[in-house]
Amino acid sequence: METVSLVIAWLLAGFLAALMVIIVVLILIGRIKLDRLISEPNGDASLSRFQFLIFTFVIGASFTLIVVGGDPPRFPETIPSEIFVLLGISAGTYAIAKGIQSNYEIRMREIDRETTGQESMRPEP
Amino acid sequence: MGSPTTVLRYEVLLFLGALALIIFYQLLTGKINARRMLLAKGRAAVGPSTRRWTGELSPSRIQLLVVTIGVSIYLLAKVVRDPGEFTEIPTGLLLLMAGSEFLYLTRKANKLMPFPGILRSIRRMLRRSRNSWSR
Repeated sequence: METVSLVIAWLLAGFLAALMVIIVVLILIGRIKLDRLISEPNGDASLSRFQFLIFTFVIGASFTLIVVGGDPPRFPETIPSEIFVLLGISAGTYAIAKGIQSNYEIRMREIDRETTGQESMRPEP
Repeated sequence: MGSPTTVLRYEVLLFLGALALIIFYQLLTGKINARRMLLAKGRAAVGPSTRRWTGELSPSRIQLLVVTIGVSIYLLAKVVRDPGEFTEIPTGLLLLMAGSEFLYLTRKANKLMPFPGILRSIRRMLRRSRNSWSR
């Protein structure tokens, strides 16, 4: 029984390693494109997306470090509510900023339509 | 060779490190678009043509970026020093983060909501109520 679980563990480790290598290689050769990772539809970079990216990465990396740091690896006993509050603040800011930006772009398209009498060339929000 | 859990631990750490390095490198070289991330947006930043930006730096965006990086470094440093459990975040830090976000959002709303801006509306309402009280 122990041998079976050991074999399964090694298979899983190998599978995850292969998956990780594939993802990194695809990013490096450009098949997975990250160029618009923090961009808005109009092409400008969004600070709220960048902040969301940073916090997701930091909290995700912290969680991973805590899980794999233990011997044997284990889920943390408690996750402080402040972590969720921080993620909530970041996500909330992103959502509100996106709402403000969309409202602005809709308004600008309406103005374009009113002044030119044609559909706006601006990208849809 | 160690146990599967040891191998998995190093795999995950290497993967996260590689991702972070790739994103950092692509941000530095411009492959990930970071165009105008710190510039003010909206009518106040628009030049004579509606499609040209005046290049005005936005203090609210810069302060948000600085606070975000500061909080992230604090969190990571705590976890690296004590990887056993999640660290508790001081309430003051959360309040700082919330205040920074609030400042950024109110500036953004004031710049981008043309008819009328939120702060202008609030100022107008306060002026009207002050005038009605003084009568």
